[in-house]
Amino acid sequence: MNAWLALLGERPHDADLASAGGRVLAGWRSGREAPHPEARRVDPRLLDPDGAGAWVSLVWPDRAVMPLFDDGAVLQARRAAQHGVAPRAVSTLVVDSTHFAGSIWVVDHPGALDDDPFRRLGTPLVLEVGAGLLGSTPRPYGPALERYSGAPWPWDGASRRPTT
Amino acid sequence: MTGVRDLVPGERFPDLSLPDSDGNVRRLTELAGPDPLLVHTYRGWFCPKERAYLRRLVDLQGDAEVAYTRFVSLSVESPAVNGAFRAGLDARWTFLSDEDRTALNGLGLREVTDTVHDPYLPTVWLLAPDLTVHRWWMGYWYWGRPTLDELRVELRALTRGLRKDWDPPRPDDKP
Repeated sequence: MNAWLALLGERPHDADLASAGGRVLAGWRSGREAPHPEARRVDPRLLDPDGAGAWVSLVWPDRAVMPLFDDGAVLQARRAAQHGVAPRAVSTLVVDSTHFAGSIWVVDHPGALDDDPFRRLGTPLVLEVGAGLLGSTPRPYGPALERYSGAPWPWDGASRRPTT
Repeated sequence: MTGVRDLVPGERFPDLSLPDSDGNVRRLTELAGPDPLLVHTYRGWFCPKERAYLRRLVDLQGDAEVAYTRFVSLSVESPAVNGAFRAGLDARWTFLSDEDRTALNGLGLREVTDTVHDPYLPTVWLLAPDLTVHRWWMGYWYWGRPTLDELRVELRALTRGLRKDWDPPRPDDKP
């Protein structure tokens, strides 16, 4: 299953889930093609219609300045996600097989937003998200950091296979 | 079979389900995903042999993080103690807690000579993603544990068997 997130000015009519607020974080839990031009792939376990409200640190880089997933700063942020304080959920965002298209760090309390290790990769947008959008996922597995052919990290279900 | 000490290569290790250091219940096959899995049972933070060996595994995690290989360490410590120990070691893999020793008894890995801590025997297992045993070592005596070079050799053999493209496609191969 694929899942997508988009940060939009208004709620799209076809999104499975969406959070109202100054900006809308919309989610789609299926579909091989991007459901919106602004949509980026996310770990599908992160979207949960039964999820409680949450605080989000969202790094959403412009497409022109996305670093490579193999960039040392991105690798170090993923190591920190395995080692530091565990969030309620975390996922990198993906638009292709090579670029870091952002991250979402989900916590229950705003005081925990500063633990987001991806903040060093871009000024994060802090959102308070209502219930019905974001679930919880256990801490990413380790020590492996490699992704699986363009899959959002840490999603690495058994159907995925590495390229190298 | 009285426990996993009777397992031989090709047989299946039990798919344990235990809490990690954050309290989330994790299953071994979930933690393995599609990758080789190193399962390590250890006595506890109090044992200098375990601290020495875990530092060796920490040295290996830089290779494992780019080689699609997962580690799991298992003890009778509580999740909170595991979390503190893991953080102090700079380990980035999953530490599972068998605090009530239910898995310990099923696995037959109780160290009967330590009646104070009642811990796991130190063992190291290399498993395929479906938990098929590739090889395992008993570390009751410290030199029984695999060196990092021995682990590398066996992980190469295990991964070669798992990856159909171990010999990469050639330019004239059909896609």
